[in-house]
Amino acid sequence: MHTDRARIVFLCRSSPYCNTAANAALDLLLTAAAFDQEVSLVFSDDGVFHLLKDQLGTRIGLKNIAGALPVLALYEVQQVLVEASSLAARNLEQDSLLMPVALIETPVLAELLEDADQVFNF
Amino acid sequence: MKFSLVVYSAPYSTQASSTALHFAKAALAGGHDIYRIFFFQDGVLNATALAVPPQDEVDIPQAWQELTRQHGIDSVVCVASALKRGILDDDEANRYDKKHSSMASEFSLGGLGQLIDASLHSDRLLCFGA
Repeated sequence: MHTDRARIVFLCRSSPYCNTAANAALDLLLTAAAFDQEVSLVFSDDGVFHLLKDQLGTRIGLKNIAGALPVLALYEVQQVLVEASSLAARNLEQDSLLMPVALIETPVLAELLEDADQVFNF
Repeated sequence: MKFSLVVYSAPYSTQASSTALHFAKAALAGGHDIYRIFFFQDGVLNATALAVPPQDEVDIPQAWQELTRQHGIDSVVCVASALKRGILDDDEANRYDKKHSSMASEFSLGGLGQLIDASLHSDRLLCFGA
């Protein structure tokens, strides 16, 4: 086991309801947090749709991750980010989102991925 | 170098599982180590013991079994992903009162902790099909 905490980035790029990747990402992220690793969750591309408020996935028998996101801080997941250009490309603004999420510019995201020990892509 | 692989895709549905298999063979042939192969989400279907592909097609599940056996690889199947897709070992089949098990004996069921463990203990973690 490494003595230092590993920096693990979870990159969520696919839209909700087309697959269950985001649920898997969240399960794995919480496991990593339970292992006391330094985790970041980043939404980019169609993954930003997970952050829209007022989603009712249960109407089509699917769970979405929206309900779990606001409690991530309790698990010491401090860094939840959304790629600014992905939001802009979909004509979305921060006030359409279900919680305050920090914007990250694409070059800064590239640095975050570069500096990470591991990146899980979902 | 010490690698771990994560396989997210079912055999035959996409190329990812097959590519992961080729990578694993190439890495081992090149003198590298594989710390663990983790089958996650639809990837758990690679662990089926019941696939019967046509004779003129590659038997991908069997290729994973042979690779695991020949090299003593720690091939772990995510238990939560597996159970809901009908991949059960004998213990789980008994536990849930199912008539049959379906997972090849080369694999073991495990939790996500083993994937995080793999990411911490490998020089490189490669994801196939994500």
